[in-house]
Amino acid sequence: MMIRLSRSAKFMCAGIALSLGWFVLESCDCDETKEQNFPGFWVACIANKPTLMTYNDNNATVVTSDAAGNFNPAEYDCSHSGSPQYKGSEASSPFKISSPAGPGGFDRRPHATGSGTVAYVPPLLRIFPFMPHAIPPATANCDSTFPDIFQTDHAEALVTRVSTCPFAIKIAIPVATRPLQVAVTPDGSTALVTSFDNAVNFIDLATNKVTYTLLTDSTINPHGLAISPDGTRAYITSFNTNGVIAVIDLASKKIIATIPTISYAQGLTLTPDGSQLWVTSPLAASVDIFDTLTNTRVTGLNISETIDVAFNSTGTRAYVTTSSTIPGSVVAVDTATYQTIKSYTVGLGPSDIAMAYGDQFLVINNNSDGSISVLDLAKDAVVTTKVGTNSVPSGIAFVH
Amino acid sequence: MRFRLWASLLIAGSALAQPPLIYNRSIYNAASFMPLTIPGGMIAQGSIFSIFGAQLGPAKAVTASSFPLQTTLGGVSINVVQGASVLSAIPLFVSAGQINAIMPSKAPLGAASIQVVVNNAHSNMAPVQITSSAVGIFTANGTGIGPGVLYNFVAQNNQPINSTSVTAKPGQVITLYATGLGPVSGPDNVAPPSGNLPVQVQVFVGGQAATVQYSGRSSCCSGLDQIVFTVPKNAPTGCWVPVYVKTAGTTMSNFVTMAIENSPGICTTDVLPQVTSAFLKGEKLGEALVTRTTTRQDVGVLAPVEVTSDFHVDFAFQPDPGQFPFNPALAFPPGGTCTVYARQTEMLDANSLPLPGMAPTTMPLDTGSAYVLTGPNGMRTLSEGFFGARAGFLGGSISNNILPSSLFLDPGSYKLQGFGGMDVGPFSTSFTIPPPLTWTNRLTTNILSRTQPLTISWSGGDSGQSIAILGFGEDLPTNTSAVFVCMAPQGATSFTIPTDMLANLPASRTNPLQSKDIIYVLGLAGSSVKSIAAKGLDVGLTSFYSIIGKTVVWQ
Repeated sequence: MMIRLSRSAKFMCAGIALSLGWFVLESCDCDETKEQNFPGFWVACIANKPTLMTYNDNNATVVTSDAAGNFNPAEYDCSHSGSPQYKGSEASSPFKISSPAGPGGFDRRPHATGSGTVAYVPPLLRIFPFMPHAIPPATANCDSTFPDIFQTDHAEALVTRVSTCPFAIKIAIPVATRPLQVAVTPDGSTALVTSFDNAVNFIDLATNKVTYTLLTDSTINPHGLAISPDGTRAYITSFNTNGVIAVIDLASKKIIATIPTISYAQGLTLTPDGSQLWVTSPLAASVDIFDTLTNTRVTGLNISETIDVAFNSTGTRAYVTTSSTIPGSVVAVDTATYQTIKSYTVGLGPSDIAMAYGDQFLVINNNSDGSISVLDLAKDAVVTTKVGTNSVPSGIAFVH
Repeated sequence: MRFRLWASLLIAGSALAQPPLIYNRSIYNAASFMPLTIPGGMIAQGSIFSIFGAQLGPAKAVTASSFPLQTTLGGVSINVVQGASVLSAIPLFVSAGQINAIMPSKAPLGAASIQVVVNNAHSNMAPVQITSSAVGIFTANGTGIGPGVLYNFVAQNNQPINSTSVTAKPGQVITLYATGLGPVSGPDNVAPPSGNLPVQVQVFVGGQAATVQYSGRSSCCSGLDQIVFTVPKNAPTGCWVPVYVKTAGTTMSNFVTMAIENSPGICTTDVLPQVTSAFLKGEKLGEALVTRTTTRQDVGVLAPVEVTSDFHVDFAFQPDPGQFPFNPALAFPPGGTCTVYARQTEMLDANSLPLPGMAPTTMPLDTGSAYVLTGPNGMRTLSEGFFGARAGFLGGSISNNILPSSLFLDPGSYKLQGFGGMDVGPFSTSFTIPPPLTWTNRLTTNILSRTQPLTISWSGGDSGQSIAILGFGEDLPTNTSAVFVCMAPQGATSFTIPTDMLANLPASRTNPLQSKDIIYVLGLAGSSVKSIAAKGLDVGLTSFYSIIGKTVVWQ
């Protein structure tokens, strides 16, 4: 295997480390091809059907469908998740896409344990040093530990709860009109849903019923949604000219602060530690970053027409989807210095983006050309796969 | 060196076009550089802290040089904000990329924010955790790990800095420089009065409690603390004996090292002394190492699984030791002692930054295109790598029918052949891989309290081996890692890790996929260490390391 000069220092590091014995762990990275398989599954709306996907043989691949390739029950149409702003502007610039759910269009409920505490879908293997090559998928097949996911049905004012194993609709829950995004509290007890028509819905996931509807004033059209890792705060964006972030205290279910931000603020992503909010907008010229301790702006990134942000598990890298290029791009940002590191070309109109367990693979929905891109950070390579004719992939919920 | 003590006052630079920007997670104790998210990394009232960012000050650095210190230096001021409370920190050094400042002794405790103001341009707010005491010991290399800034007391006018060539001896008085002992009752901007600060201070040298003669401000400098202690009579000797400070009975400083020998002269180590000697002398050093690692994953997985892998790592280089030689991978603590490293990084990820000092500063020596390793399972050509350094996978297995075995490094006799390169000549060396090491209480080492001593027991392995125990705690969302490294006494079959070594490990998350917590027991440097006699190498050796791992939960 050819090794680039730039790797030699790391090799030396590994070798020297071995002389002590600790940090031998560095040696597991010596094969830069890093033949790891894709560690898990995700759900996206493909060809208007919620679809369980994984990544095999360099292709985004449907895992669960009926014989016709559709979700079963076949009556379900997840294209209703799109926001009217997108649909209504389909024919005119700068809207290039028809019906994205937007980041958070799907969300998953953390797998509940017997003790009621937050849980996760355990993989077969975790990523530690000294791993042999050819690591198998973290979870081989549909497993009973897979969580439920939630999807907003924008047109019908519903939130649909879907079990991912077996892949089936559990219930459709009525919410305030024009729901957009959904997020689940870390303890798995409550789902929050933004409704464009001035409401935030609180769904009790034990009863699958809306137990409270927070009405916002008419200047706030809730869209983006994020919940702090400690479950004490929710943040929503207002998708209108006067972009704001509203901070919701989840105990009192009240808005306790509003923060001005970019116009038509849409996406809202918290860093893994919850210390910062990254705000995107398909209509703005920048990404806004806020400090959650003080609710003040940290800085802005000169990346325009952005939809979604994904972070690696340590929050040291951010990956931002942008439609400012044709085809679209994912921009990698060093979150320490806020400097752009690299731009990756993906499909047309990239929207949702999510990081798979292990920080090696990013999955990106490309709304405008009906494709899904998988960015392999170990190989520094992107593979884009068409996912059906006239298909608009939207929403990503990883179920690992 | 990241921390710069004050010198002469310079003229401030002109106004800056861009607003100042504090980088994310870039505020640290100016001596330890430990993460804010662990107790020892918090910023103490009255201590010196560092801020990193862009446009934080003038292009030409400015340093405060005389008392009384001002709250503005070179056009730069620093706000400490907690709710409606705003205090000014005292800048000591300002530049475009870094500020060193004193946290006011009256700063509020708990979560607060730092804001830099440069010629009336305000930076972002950056979070900080303020505490009453959290000591950072200054290090000679300015990174927070490695040789501490410790002075051997010989006479009042003869106090050389401790190093591997200027060692201390048991019973000698040492002056240690640090910051973070806590607030002073008077103002922070004037020369501090001498006198012990009220916080309880304990100093440990090689795990032994030292007698502390003084713990207070250095009379020269605001924010700078001085701790005078006596090296315990029973302190271990060695080149890199761990030293740390505990304040208020709870908060551990960064761990630094000092060199201790019973007689004056260059220090030695009890593990791989030939490697230490070559490192200290800057001799040409080559190692050919093979490892077998067996890790039990039983936290955060569907079912317990055993992962076994064989690797080789070979390298040759001529180190540049400098005045304060230290490489965390070479700097063994003496047998029976432990050290701790805590950093803002993911130590278990090869793509993250290694610890400071790990990456060599010199090019590797060319040992040829390949080695050949022959043993009970056949022959392998070890050709992966570049220019004298190579590393690769030799085989593995994963239980539960996940991966069939392709293991190579079974116990037995091996021969390693090198064919020579531009810098190192050919060689042929035989060595033996011994029976495996067994970690006898591995299955019961599972959910571990960080407030209880942790005992690890083992049996078997190599004759004459040294046992190292490494415990990692990584909190992924905050990118915080800490690891303890303990060396068992020679011949021991168990070792108890003191609670002080566990104090700065991050607690495991409820979702285990957000933590990486694991213990490794390593058998190293036993009978498998054989000399490699090759032209161009001053010291060459083979070695086999047996590594047993186990995932754990830190509570």
